[in-house]
Amino acid sequence: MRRAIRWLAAVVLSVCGCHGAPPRAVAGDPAALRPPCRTDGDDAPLQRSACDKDWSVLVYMMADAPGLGAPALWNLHQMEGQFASPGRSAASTPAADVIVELDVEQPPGIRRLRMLGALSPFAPLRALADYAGPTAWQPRSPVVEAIDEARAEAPPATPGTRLADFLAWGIAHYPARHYAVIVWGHGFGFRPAGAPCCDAGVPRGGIALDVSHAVLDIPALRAALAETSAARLAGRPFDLYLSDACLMQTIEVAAELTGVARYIGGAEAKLDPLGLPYRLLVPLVNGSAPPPPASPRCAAHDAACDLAAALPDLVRTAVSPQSELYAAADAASDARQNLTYSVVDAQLLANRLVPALHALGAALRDYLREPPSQDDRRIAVLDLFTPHRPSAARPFVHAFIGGGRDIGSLLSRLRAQLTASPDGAAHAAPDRAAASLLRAIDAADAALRTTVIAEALGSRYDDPAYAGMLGLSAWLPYQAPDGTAGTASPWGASLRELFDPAPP
Amino acid sequence: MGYAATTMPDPMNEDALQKELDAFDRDPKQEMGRLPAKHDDAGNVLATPFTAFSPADRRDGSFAVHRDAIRKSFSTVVDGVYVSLEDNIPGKAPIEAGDRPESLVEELKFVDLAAMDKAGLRKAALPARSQPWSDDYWAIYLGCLGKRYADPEFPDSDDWQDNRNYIRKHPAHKIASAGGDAVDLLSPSEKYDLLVGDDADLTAAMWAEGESYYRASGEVESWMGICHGWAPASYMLPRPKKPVTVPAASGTTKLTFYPADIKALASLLWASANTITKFIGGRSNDKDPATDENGRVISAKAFDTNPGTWHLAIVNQLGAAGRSLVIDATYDYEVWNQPVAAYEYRYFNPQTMKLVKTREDATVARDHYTRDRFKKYRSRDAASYVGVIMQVRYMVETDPEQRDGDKPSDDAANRVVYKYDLELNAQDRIIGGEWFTGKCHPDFLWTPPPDARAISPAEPMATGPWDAASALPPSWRHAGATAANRGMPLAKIVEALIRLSEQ
Repeated sequence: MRRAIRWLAAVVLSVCGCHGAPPRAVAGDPAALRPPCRTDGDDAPLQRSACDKDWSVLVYMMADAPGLGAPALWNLHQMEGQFASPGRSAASTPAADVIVELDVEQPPGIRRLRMLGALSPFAPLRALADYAGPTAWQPRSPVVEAIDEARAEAPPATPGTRLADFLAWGIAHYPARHYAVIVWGHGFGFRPAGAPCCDAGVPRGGIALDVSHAVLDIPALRAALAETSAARLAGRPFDLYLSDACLMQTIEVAAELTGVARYIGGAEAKLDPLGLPYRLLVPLVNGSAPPPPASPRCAAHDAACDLAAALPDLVRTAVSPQSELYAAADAASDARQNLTYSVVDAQLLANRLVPALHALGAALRDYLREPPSQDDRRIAVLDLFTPHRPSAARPFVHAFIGGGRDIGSLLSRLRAQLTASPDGAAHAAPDRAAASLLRAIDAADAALRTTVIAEALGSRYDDPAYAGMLGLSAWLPYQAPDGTAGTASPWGASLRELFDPAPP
Repeated sequence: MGYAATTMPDPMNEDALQKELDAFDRDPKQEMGRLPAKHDDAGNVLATPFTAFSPADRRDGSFAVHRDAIRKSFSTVVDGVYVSLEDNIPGKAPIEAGDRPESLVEELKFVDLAAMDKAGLRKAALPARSQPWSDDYWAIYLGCLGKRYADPEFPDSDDWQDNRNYIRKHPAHKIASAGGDAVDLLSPSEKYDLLVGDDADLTAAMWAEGESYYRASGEVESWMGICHGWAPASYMLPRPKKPVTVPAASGTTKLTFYPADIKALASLLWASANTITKFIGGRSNDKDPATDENGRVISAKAFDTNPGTWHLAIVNQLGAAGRSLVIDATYDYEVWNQPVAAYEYRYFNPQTMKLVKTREDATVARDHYTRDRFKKYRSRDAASYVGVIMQVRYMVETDPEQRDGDKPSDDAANRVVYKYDLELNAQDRIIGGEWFTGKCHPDFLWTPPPDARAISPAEPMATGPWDAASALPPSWRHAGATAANRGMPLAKIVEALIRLSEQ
């Protein structure tokens, strides 16, 4: 409950600004004082911490967890591997720095690497297993800081303080005009505050689980970004926050990050261990390849927005049969089939989508309460929202692991059910609450389509059962009754009405 | 659904088993690639055991893909987190998250062979009163519960459309209006609709299921049915024992639900309900999984349940807890969602490949297991190995009939033998193992939790009791119609019919 209220509060307090205009460095922001690092004709190079590159990409890579060693090395090799085109790089360049804080099982210890390119030949991947075992490839980029892991993980340190420490250090040593933060590891998305927890096993939401089961929960993730932004950027949000992890692209997570990130990217379902395509992504920011094209979804000269809008397509391209990253088409066939990746505009999410969903929740409650068909309506909507075995007679909204439902799919299914029912809009004299609910659905759908600036979905989701999917989820319980459903917000209250109604 | 049989010795006959071990010793790859023989309860080898899969599907391995279409709809809850198999990419694992016996059994009471021997758990059988009941799998191409199984004129065609046309030509409401014995010949769903009235149209939902496939591809494949509903229903709900005659909603027509009709409704209820399932295993949709030089599956797309998990699960579930479980063997098209009724096992020495009488004689220390064909897959913690041959008796499908009674002797069961070794750690605890049966072994085990109840979303609408001498009360009828329009019966109606059939 507290966490849900906290995210609602975060929405209310979210940064208000003119949509579309990239934030400029303001007085007090150190970026207002530093010159750019690259200056034509400059004979005297500046100390790195005293000048700004265009981008710093800060990757918090928690790979000290089951099954993540090989994927981590694969992603790092993408960055270090040589390109055939001279000058092309997926690592640090004069225009950008790529800094990785790497925590793997072996060797022990935490390393901060400044990634350099062309350190080794690059071979397309045959299988992740090629990056496992004692003789697997190892990164050669310089370790710019080595951290004693035991000390770093000892109390009072927490996963949140560790991330904040890395981000603050990264900004201090590698300042830039734009920052992309990527949190890499196992992800578990959102779980409601009242959900039962466990000490060993699946943790309670969050990301970057390590082998000791410590996890960066969503409030801690926000706190790390917020505190660093306040301390180092005069409150300016990070340009891009990306989860390279499963299940993180939910409205609950994104709402928590509004005000601390401008664009939020992630996967609402399981993300293939192959991860994000660093080899395609980094060249777009480090000047070794043309920048992404200006997106019609973005204001002019908003480099961060253009990059954000291009990202899902990059993820799709990376796993296509023609991808240069993989030795054979079937190396990425699972990823191609199961892919979900989207990027949302955090400000539009806070200012348009969240209010629209609350309005939808209020309209839904009215609809469920309107006599004389309350029971029938509740059963119909509950059945739609509850996963079960598919059948022609009984459509439902697919539930991802943990209970997330794609919001676009949910709206599409709800609309279809409403318009097919006797009291839907198709009826000659549409029921008042049904008509109002349909309008709320349409408004929420419009807000969703504005908020999600780009998405990529795998071939599995071509099935009509997933119609309307846009790559952003909302959490719902998986069955009724569920006492964790609902908060004081209109959306939360509608969930409670459905999944845990008060006894008559 | 009769099976051709050939008289052969009991599958657990010593000579027969030793021959199989010798054959494995000579050519493991050939033995591992063989489909295990199935026997009936008399010990006869079944020449053509029932399978719902077409010859084409069996030839090209498509049956594995079809199974996956059903299996991916399973979901469970792990530590409070909803997990659907649809979102699990197929993969392979030793005993780990998807391959833990604790995921299936309520209590893992027995974890080593000595304790199992001491407790007399080398064999176990559910008593007759608890034996899972056989039923049809209610093929969709025949109309699912819309099939008028007792009507001699029903086409029983391989073509869904022929069957559908017959029903359209002889609608149930006209037969009901005419009354008489013809009402008895109606299908289970038609009887349900007459019972509930109120525009209930469970039958329409049954035919709509097939129509969606027929329109998409011009056929409804033979394997499509509700065996995933029959299997759990067969032991989660009591056996309907006698016909039940109740008034239809009209108040004038009398409807007789035979045990086959009630079983059908029970199977459909469990096939459709939102029950969280406990399961071991994952998805496998690799038609022709890669194998190593010994025939062991090594495909990353074929999730493989470890024999250690298998042994722990069946002994603890059926032997210790006295509950059935459902087995599925992806690469054995003759074993699909079968509830288990009994098992027994004996030992062999995996080093000598000889049958032995005692566990001690079957145990080979790690250093002495020089003929281990699966050495590279072994757990580091394995200290010794024991060979096991287990016979499993599982219930199979039967054709529905209108009988005046239903008893365990009306059921049908098959028996199959699996061979494997078990890895024991230094404390003799079972920690893994390797199959000697090849890919055609159980790799997906599941059961509803003991307290699970399959219900429709409309259950809360049905209030008050039902006096079976009268038509259903209005709230039951409304609830029954609401459920029917979602393609499932009201649980309260099914449970009431079962109670009535036991009296």
